[in-house]
Amino acid sequence: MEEYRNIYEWSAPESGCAIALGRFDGVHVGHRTLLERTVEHALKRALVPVCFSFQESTYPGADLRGQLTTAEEKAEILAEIGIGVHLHPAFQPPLTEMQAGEFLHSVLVDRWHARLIVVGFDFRFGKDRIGDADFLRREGDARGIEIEIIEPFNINGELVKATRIRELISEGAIEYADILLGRPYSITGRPRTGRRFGTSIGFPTINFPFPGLKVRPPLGVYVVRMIRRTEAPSHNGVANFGVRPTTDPENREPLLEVHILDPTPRAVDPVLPPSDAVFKVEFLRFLRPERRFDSIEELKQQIARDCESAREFFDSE
Amino acid sequence: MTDPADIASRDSSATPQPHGLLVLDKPPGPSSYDCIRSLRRSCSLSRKWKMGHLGTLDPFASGVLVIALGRAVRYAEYALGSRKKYRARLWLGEETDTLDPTGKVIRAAPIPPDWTDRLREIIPSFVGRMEQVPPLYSAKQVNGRRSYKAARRGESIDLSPAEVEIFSLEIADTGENYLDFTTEVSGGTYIRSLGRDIALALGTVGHLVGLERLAAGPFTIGDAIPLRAFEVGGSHVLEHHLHPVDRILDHLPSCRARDGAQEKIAHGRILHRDDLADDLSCVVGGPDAIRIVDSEGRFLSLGRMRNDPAGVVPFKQWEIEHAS
Repeated sequence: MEEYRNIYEWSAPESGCAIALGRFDGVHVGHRTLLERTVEHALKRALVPVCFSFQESTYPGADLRGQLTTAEEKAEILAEIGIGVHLHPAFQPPLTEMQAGEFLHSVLVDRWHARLIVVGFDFRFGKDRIGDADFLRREGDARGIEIEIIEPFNINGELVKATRIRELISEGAIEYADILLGRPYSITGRPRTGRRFGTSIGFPTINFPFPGLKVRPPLGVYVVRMIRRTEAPSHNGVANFGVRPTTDPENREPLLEVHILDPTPRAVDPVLPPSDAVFKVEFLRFLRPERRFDSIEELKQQIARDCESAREFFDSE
Repeated sequence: MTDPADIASRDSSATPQPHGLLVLDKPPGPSSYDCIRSLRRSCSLSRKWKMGHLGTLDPFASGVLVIALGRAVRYAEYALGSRKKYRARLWLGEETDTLDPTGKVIRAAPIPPDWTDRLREIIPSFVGRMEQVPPLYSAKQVNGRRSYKAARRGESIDLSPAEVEIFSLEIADTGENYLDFTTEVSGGTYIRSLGRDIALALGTVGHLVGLERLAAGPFTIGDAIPLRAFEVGGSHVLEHHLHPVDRILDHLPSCRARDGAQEKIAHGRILHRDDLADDLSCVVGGPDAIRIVDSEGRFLSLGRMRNDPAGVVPFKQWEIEHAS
């Protein structure tokens, strides 16, 4: 998939494209439906499947600690769905100052040769957000451009929305959030060498700094799955997300410390992973909030209980 | 009646292999399958031995859990549709993702101050036949809970409603923000969904915090043996509390076979008029399956009606073997 932060660097093929428009933070199940429909149409009609979204952190009022996906994560998911070109500019003029009609006619149609445009039912665009799905349909019809408007996607009686998923993650309702996302909420990154404290009490961990831009779940203990990008097998684990009040009360930066359950001999060495390895850690269930323990012994006992709970989770899968 | 301790055993030193139905009083906590595993251990039943439950109970729930052992497992489908009776406590103001206390709160809503008055008004609308949306996480979907493929079909998933029948619904008690109710329902009805829907009808949200199954088909809580009793007493308790499979088949019409017909029954060959002591006309045009019994009324086999030639084809034979 090609990604362009500067949209002027992309020349659309004359044969045309099918383009999905939206914000797509999180690329949840509702977004996926829209994007999969775009790819499906594109393949059938020999059009390039394109996705247009502004960079999440450049939206006015964007919560810089509230993203569901980083730009890299979003790109990976779009590519996996089959999007061929991702137009991913920052939210700024001239695009954001254009009237809806101008954007449709001079950019989408004249410059990008859009033959099909796919949007959600609540899509808004153009200066002052005056353009909406109905506007697109009317104007599109006039120029012979097909417009597809995707209906609301509901799960469990509610509309799937990124704000709702953020709320659920912040409250620790991870499993439910994962259902609305359509995949486990995860972080991606390189491990950082720790102080080897975990190893010293019998629970070696691989430690990941939590990406600053992403929504934080509550501090505490989670059932997780860790996946090394270039290898197929994943590892079941239990992780502590927190500031380590028992052992390191001065530290304020939250860390995700992942302990692999029952590692096999071929599993990643928990103490010395290769420094260039990138991992994905998926959050599967919130077990308990972080707490201070009065003694290392108590901490060890609780960790053992957490491991048992995590094993039960994986056994019931 | 079939001897409940009917046992097929070739080796007297092996644990006798039981056939029949066990009525367990499940404690809250373990899953229905955990209970089966526990029974296997405490009664030393080998892994080869078939065991299954006739209608699961959620882990947080307690009460009547009917377990089929050995040959009785094959008749399970005739019990799954049977009526069940429950007592439940519905907690108002918060909805969890599991609709029970094991899950995470996903929605909260204020409780209307006049909810107890509204309760009287809405209860009648919950009695009768209706469509019910199953819980998001149901026993059927142990994997579905983490299966994102379902959510990723290109369509909304408001889970397809199922037809259920609620025979009765009575309020047993109310508290500041909860209500207790008893209900008798058709097989396949989710009490967690019923609780969710009652809360919505009251203008708020809710989830069950207690659930006890008081009856399943012909078995009631009075018949039920606590799991603990098996942990302590093992297979002795089992032998003395095994019910014949007849109990779950009694609703099927019966037809008596003459003594000489046993051979035909064993081989699944069609039984004609002279093989039967009863006139076939009593079951003609009846349901899919009938019960074939012997002259003393003991269950021998299920049977399917045939018109041309007229007769009964035995299937799912009990295969009684006598010790001598």
